Amino acid sequence: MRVEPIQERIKVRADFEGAKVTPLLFLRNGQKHRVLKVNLRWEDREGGRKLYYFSVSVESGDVYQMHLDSADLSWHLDFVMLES
Amino acid sequence: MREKPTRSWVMHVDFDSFFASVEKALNPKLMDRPVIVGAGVIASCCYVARAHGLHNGMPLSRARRLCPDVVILEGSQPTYRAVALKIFDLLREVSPNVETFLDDAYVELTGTERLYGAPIQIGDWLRKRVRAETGLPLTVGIGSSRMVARLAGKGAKPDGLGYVPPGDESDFVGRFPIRDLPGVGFRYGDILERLRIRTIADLRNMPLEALTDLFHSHGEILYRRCRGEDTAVVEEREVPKSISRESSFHVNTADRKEIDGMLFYLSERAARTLRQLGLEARTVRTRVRYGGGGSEAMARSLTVPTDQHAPLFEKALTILDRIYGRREALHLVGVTLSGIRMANGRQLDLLAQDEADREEHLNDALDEVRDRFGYSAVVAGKSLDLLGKLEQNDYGFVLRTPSLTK
Repeated sequence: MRVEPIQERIKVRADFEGAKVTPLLFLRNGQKHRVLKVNLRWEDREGGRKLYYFSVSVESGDVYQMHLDSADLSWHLDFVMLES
Repeated sequence: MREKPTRSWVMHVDFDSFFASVEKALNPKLMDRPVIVGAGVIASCCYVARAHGLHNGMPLSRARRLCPDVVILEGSQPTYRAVALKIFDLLREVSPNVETFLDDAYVELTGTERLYGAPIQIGDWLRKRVRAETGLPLTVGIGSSRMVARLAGKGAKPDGLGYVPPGDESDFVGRFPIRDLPGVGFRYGDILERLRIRTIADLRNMPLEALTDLFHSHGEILYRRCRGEDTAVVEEREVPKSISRESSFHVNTADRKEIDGMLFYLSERAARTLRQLGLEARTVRTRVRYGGGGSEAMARSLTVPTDQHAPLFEKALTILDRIYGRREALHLVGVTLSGIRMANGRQLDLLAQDEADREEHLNDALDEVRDRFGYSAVVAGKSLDLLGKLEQNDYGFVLRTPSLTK
């Protein structure tokens, strides 16, 4: 198992029901990746910015980590976990 | 009308093989696989990996030989910290009195029954809630004191709930091996085992006088604890035997600026922990591990215990100059503070008092800024040489292998 860094800004369709944000689908390199499950969600801070992190399993079976930056509501794809 | 006395209840919460469990929650494909987290040695080992003979502290090379299928991850301290904070917030939903550590916590439940039900129901609810919110297993121990609660959880691990009814404390505690009694470390454990005292119940056969002859005032504490009585556990817990901070470098290095900068940063963090706990330390130990293998370490004591960074770092650096003799890159550097006691009084050298006061005021100001704005709000002294080499977050530099306080 290895982690492959991505660190790209991406477009995401998300659900903002109640106080919870849930990514549903993201676009990368022209391909749509549908989120099947949010495995874990957590929050962290960088100075005054709050970052909302998600580990998600997508249709292809891959697992990605992404985060939402509260400062400008941008989404970022951090890395993908791959079998070595 | 006379009120019924409120029964005392404490809950101990332990995150089972925390780092490895978080990695499995992040990636469900790892659920049934042997997973370890570490760099150089195992920092966290899931129970599947333990079934193959792996354990915390084992070198990774040995782990691979014992379990060729093992999944080894370097892990992410910021992620683990954020997940731990999330769980601690859940604990605070049932009680405002929560004392947290890196991967466990004590929750004061006395007086909460009227609002939330019996302590055992609270424990059960909490385990289910943490599993639902994070996917993580939790072991909960409930008893009339911190010691009993902790041992109750120990008996129920992993992913279990242990409960000791009132009145059963003495019998329950007696079954445990002597080394599980809080206050019995390696040295006392060796002494007691040589006297054929193997369980906590065995210790009850020793008269108080014999225990105080052996261990002085600590003997009385052990006398009471082995009978299930909680004694000053909070104070004991708040005075660790040592505080260690060490980290490996992302890339082995012989650059003295980087090495000194890391030592400065690690000793600064350790000194801050001393001040946060109201402690001071007398002995400094510096350790290095070479990139090619082998390590060196040396300890030296200060004339006067302190919680101030400058004298602690100065001593650590002096030791480093003595032990770092080979012309070889280092893989790891670390500092350990010991000879720890509750802070009291200042040095008696009046000539040095002004300088000590200035140092103390500076450290107090730094602590206050960091408490408000995050540790990285101020990067001081030789730590500046780490800028650009290490990432930072609110909690400070993101180290490759941050260690835990013992």
